[in-house]
Amino acid sequence: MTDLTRLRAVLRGGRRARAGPAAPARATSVDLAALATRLGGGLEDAPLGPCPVVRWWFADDVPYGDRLSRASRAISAEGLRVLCGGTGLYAPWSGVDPTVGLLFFDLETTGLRGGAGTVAFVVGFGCFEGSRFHVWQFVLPSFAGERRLLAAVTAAVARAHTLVTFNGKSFDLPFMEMRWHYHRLDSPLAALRHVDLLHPARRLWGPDTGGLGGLETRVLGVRRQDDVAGFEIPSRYFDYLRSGDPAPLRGVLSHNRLDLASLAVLTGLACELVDGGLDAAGDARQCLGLGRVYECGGRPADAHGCYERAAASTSGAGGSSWRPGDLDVRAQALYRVASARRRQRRHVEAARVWQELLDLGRTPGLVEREALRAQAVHHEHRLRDTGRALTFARRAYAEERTACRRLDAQKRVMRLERRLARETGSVVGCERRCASHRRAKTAQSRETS
Amino acid sequence: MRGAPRLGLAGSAKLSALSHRQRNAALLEALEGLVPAGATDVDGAAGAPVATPRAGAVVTAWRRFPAEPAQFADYPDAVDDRLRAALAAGGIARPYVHQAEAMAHALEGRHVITITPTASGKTLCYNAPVLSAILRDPATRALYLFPTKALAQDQLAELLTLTERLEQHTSIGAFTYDGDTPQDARRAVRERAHLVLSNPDMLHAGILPHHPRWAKLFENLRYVVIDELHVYRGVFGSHLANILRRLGRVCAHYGSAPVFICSSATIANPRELAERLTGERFALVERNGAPRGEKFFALVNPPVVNPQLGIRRSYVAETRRLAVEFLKRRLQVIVFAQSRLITEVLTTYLKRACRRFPGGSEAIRGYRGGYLPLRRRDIERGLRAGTVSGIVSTNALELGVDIGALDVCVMAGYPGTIAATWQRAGRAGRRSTRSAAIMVASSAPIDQFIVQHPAYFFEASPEHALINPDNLQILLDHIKCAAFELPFSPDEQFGSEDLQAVLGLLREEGFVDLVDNRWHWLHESYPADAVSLRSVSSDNFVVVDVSDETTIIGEVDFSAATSTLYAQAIYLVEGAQYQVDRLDFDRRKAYVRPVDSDYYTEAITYTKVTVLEEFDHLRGAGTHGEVHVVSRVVGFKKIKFYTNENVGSGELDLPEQEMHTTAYWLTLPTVLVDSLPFAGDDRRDGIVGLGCALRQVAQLLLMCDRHDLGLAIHGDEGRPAHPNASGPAAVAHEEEPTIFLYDNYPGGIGFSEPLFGLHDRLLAQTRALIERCPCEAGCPACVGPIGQTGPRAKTVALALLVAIGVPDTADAAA
Repeated sequence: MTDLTRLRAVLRGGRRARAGPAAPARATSVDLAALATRLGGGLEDAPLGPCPVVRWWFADDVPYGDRLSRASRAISAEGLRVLCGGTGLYAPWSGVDPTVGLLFFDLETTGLRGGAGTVAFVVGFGCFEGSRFHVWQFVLPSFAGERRLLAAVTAAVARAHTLVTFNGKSFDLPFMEMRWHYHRLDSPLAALRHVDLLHPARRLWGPDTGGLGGLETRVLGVRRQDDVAGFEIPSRYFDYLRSGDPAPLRGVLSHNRLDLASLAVLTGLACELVDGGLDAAGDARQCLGLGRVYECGGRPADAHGCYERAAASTSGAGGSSWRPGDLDVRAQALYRVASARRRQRRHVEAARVWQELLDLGRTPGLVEREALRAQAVHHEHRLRDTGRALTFARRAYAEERTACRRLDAQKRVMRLERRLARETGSVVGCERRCASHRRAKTAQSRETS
Repeated sequence: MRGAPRLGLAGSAKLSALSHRQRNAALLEALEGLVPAGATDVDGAAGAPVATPRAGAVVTAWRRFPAEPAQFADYPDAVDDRLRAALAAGGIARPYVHQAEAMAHALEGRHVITITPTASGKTLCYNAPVLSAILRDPATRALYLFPTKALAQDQLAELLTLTERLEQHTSIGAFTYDGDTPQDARRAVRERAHLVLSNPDMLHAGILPHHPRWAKLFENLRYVVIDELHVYRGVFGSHLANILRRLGRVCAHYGSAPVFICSSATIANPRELAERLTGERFALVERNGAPRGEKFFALVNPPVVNPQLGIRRSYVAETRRLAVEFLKRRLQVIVFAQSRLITEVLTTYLKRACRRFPGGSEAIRGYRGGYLPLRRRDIERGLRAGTVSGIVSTNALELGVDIGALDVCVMAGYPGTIAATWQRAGRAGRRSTRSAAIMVASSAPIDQFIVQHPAYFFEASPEHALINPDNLQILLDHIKCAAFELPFSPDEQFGSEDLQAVLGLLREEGFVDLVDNRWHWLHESYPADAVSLRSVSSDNFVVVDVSDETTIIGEVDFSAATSTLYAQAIYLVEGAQYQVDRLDFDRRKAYVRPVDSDYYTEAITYTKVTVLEEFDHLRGAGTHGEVHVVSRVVGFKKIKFYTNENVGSGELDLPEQEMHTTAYWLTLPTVLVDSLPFAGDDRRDGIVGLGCALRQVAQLLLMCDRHDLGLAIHGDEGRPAHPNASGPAAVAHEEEPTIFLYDNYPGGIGFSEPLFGLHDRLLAQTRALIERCPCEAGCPACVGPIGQTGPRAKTVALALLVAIGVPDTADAAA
């Protein structure tokens, strides 16, 4: 008995014991039918046996209703192709109604860090049936039911060709893949085309959106009532497992359902923007973002049009239409334009745009460094203007942040100094500068050590 | 150019290499200055004393180990022909006997452990069976575990040269997977690697908890290679044993049962250690077939400079003198020091002494944990290339990091164990030329014992590596991790504790629950994050130089931060001195600037122990139980270089560090102490002195590292008059004076319990140590040096032992 007491002490690290005995363990099997009923769903047949499923059809009158039916019309084959990164020529949507076989997908899990000890206890799907949005959610009755749930999910995606998720690339898909591997099965999701709306959404509606809920508020103007906070979700499932009472899961199901609905609405809006082109963009920032979406989606010409429009519409510095943040948008847009010109080997035009960018004054460091580098290269190798090249190179050296880049910049400065000395015959000046760079070099090797 | 050394080595060209003959001659010449004339010519038996040292000589023992020729064997039949051809192309036509034997065991599916001295080709023992298996079935996977990332990198380089030669047959993927692997490369490693080179920490926190992602590896895992097995003793070993238990569960889940191939330096119980770590039966291969050049081994005791106080010449100074003798003859020397501080002090000394030699002070480098990886790689390259002629290192270079073979190894102080001494000595030793290893004893009793009883060192078996996988704290942590990885069944075992009871307790705390007749993890946390395998926390402090541009110059473990990075501390990196401006404890940063100082600093630590529970106690006042230890750095001393004078001090106010551990303690009844005819101050000094002596003897009895055992003394009044730097200190009022020896690891690592069992021997040997010490009134070898303990410490300590009835056992010290 002393062993157990010691164990307890070690475990608690000297803390007092909790008041009251722990709840007894539930080792008995769950009454599936009762669980399904209490959650407002039913038992449905699946390949390995019945599985609790909760179904929901969004009616026209609820807040999402008309937005969802508009989304059902807006979702287009080309929109989806661009949003999923334009990979491949074949798009399964061309020629047919793109919403057929398109599944919206979202998980609720027992932990956000992942790992073998976490499971998905709600696997939610959404799809359009005509203009109506239908959500169905598989609920894990307890750990032992996971294989059955996975089989049901496999059956559910059997006739789908595309999944739409929010952050599914880093979270939902690897997570589910891990569960199949845990059971030594192959994941059926790997064969599906995947549209992860996270990055397009950030590009179109701003980076600081705060997840799907934040986006919903900012873009759709919808504020959810009594929504379950994300961090609370795992413990709700543990509570259910300990008590056998599924009541805490209802909030989680409704949270999952709303996530799926807003995911569908946002997909519709994103398709509208892609299909509408640069005239559809609301402001310069969105125009820039749309350009990025086009660029990633394999439509460089449209991307370029967006960048130029974004740059042009923010050129009125100091004017009445000038808004805070425009400078940033302009810098990014010019940066994209200049990069594109450089890729097209239109160097003179590129140099003009880089210079325009540097003339902005206050620009984000990353963009400014790229501009300085480009101008230094251009003046050194193409214009052969050693003096100006050196000015850019020195500025670049002062701005560079990584050891690697600093080393490159330093080499350029030293090379240009030598060349300048040859050109002007001013040896003294060179030596003085070389000494200053030796100092810089020492400082740098200390930095890298 | 980016990869080229840039760290102060730019100017020094490679030292012109000596020929074999010149090297041999230079070594003999240096040695002859040290030992009786003619000793180096004698053809003695291996390890036999070659000459009797002169009385009072510096060298107390001298051994010569003749050169040994290689012993070859044939490849076992199961070694794939394509691999044989590739090996032959690389110059290995036939393996050494031990290699062939190890390969045969592994290929026939037996777990095998090979005992290998440095540079005996241990890697082939595991690479050959693993690559053979992959050639035969390309689905085969293997996992290699090395104690450090650097060793994995070394081995990867070697493996790649071999797999390149096999490229025409099959493409074999070998990758390291550790904290340095970029996130975007990890997926590729999981999918493509036949061989995953990793470390226990990564297996624990990055691989096992994500085992489904590694399904391909675990389904096909045929071999698990554990290199440097002897490292896994104590806390680290106890953790590894639990990680391997978890690995076993995961493998069983995926239907594999890998064969373990282990290699170890010489320890007393390699097979037992392997079996304790893995829970499997092992075959042992210990016959070494690798060739060896002639080697000399000397034990050196610095001469006594003050017989009255029992003070010898500083062992650090003696080490410097010896190292310079070899360095000036252009031999490559490695110096091992016992602490980071001494490493830096010796680096400083040798750099100054070698300014006029070829290569100058740039050819002398320091090496220790806390240097940034780039600097370390640069030093390792310098050693292999010969641009570094002298290296001063902590035990960081004891492991198999590839630095090539050097000519001479000088150890400043006894490394603490016989095994570690041979391991370090093995750093010097080429296959075809002479080499030498020299151990310079410090004044610590254990060092003095070794130099005065050389037979003990040369003839005794090396130590046992002990682990305690069922340490409650460690076990509990890993049970949590294991439950996260795979649910436990109600009849499963994990360690020797009652697993079901432990799980019941974890349920009370809300971590797991019995669902569907399985114990499942029911918590949102990720349990592996809460467990650090090395007793040091992963929470390091960075040292920031703010003098010029802000640069990071080093790292310090959490546990050592308060005792090395306090404000005004002198922080040394390769002999360069920095002074700490400010320690930002919350942000884990110390801001320093370069200084030129003629002293270094040493922290003064106070420790307080509170008894939580007594497990058992003896009438002789020895007790074993659980304690709470709080320690705090309260000040520091300034110590002058070379003379070791105390030239000042300062007070500090730093956060406390706490731990819960097990201890052995000795209580001295107040009545008894008061009955002794000494003044109060003298009595206190005596108790402190007794504590010092007890710890020294305990360390010898347990064969543990001196950092494994903490010492705290609770006196009867206030603090002692002479606080001991980073050593014991008496604190506050306690009813009776008590000497605590505690396991210096949270939860305890199993030293205090055997110590309790050895109570009688401990006290008797302590009495013998104090009684027989030739000093007059205390010296570093018994109760501590005069000046640190009081003038009567020795007398009082002995009187205390007599008073509590410790017998005068004639053979106690044997």
